[in-house]
Amino acid sequence: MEIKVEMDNNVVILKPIGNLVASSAEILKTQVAKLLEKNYLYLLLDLSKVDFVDSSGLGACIAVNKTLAAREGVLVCAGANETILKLFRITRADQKITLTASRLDALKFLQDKALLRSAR
Amino acid sequence: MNEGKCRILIVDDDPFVAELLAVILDADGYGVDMAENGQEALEKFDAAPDVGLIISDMNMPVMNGLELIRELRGRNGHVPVIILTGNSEISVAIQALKNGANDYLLKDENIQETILVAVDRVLEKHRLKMNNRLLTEDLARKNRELEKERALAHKVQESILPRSVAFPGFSAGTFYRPSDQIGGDFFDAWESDNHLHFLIGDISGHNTSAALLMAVCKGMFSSLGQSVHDPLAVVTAANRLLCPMLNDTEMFLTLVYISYDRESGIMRLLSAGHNTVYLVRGRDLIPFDSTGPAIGWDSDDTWEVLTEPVNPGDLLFLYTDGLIEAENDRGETFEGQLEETLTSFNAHPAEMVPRIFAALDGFCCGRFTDDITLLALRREEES
Repeated sequence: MEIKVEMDNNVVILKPIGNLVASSAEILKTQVAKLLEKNYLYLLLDLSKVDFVDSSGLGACIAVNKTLAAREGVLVCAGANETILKLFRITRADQKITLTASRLDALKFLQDKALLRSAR
Repeated sequence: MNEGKCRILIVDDDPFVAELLAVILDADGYGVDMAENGQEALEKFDAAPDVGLIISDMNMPVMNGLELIRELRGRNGHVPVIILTGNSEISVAIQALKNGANDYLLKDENIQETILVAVDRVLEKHRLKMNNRLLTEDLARKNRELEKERALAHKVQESILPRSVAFPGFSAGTFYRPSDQIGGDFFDAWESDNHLHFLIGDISGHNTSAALLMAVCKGMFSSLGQSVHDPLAVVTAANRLLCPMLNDTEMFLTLVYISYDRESGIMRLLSAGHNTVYLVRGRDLIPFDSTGPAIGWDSDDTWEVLTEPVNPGDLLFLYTDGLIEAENDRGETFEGQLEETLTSFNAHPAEMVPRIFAALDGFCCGRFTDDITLLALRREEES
């Protein structure tokens, strides 16, 4: 699996291509750790090019969400397919991580959060 | 001979060439030994096989260079061999290379310069080859040890799970198959204070950590569930113990926990992020979806508990997602077939479970990528 990285203002967009399973979950976690070192706290995980997320992949999303939340950061997952959404719903991961249908919605959500924080 | 430089055996019936090479190699710090033909070389090699390199002429009486190479390689000797050859004998040298020589050197006026270069090159190549061989052997040995360990872990894990599930008034069938020797699935069943407890769990991943966590969970739930019969109390307590353990890992587990009260005939069911499980009542299926989050994410998490009477003849079917996510060659999952499969087998759970697995095996042609656990329990008709 490869992860494309893009920037939109202060939001980092990570776009994995392929399945988010045990081996790729490690890559995702390493990537996020590097971003946190550089103080990037607003993360958009674009799942539109991911067909399948297994339990290790889901575990990695939850772990990333926790790490970000501990630093007052935010993770939003966008564009997940029906199979992935089902996994999030059954495990109630959808109550832990913000999900949006489109990448645009996610971007707006994250930029609003970032604005709110800078206004504080 | 310098420390670190090997002993070289020069084989040539021409004393002039042999002496010339011996002087050059000796001056460069190598130990040198000489033989006049292949036979003598072989005897010297047998007597002292620590020779680091053989430089041999091709045409010699008694035993020629080619025969010497064949004899050496037949003895499984890895000692590198450089063949000396005249300009007119290149084809012979190539034949020698095909038979296991490592390099060849022209016997011409430049030999004084070329011999040391050739020796260095062949010895370096040989050293790399031997290192590579050692590393490969080491890797194969470690793999064998790892496989042995995993086979042992598989046995231990199997022994952790109940061998059979049997309670008065209930019949049961179980099936457990890790995807690769060890896995993260588990199930358990016990009776205490007139309450039957059944559970099935699935740890994320199926590596060694999942197997270790599976063993911890199995012990934790059965110990918590000895005196407490409320699934919410058991799961809440387990979650609070597990969350700090799983912090900073991406591990979690999904679980269905059922407590059945013999007196009231009612079961209480909690599903922590687990796939839908079923109560089969005649031709009807009552599905039980997840009632709250997976375990290990947040100490404050809580769950809904569902209640349902378990009537005589009712069958509870619990399983892990390896069953419904198995795919056929068209990429379809077994999930679409499960409900029909469940209602079509009106058999004793001990027969039903292997039949469901056989149906799955046929569906996905034996391609299993996840652990699979099945647990079926039927309340017997009262006689």
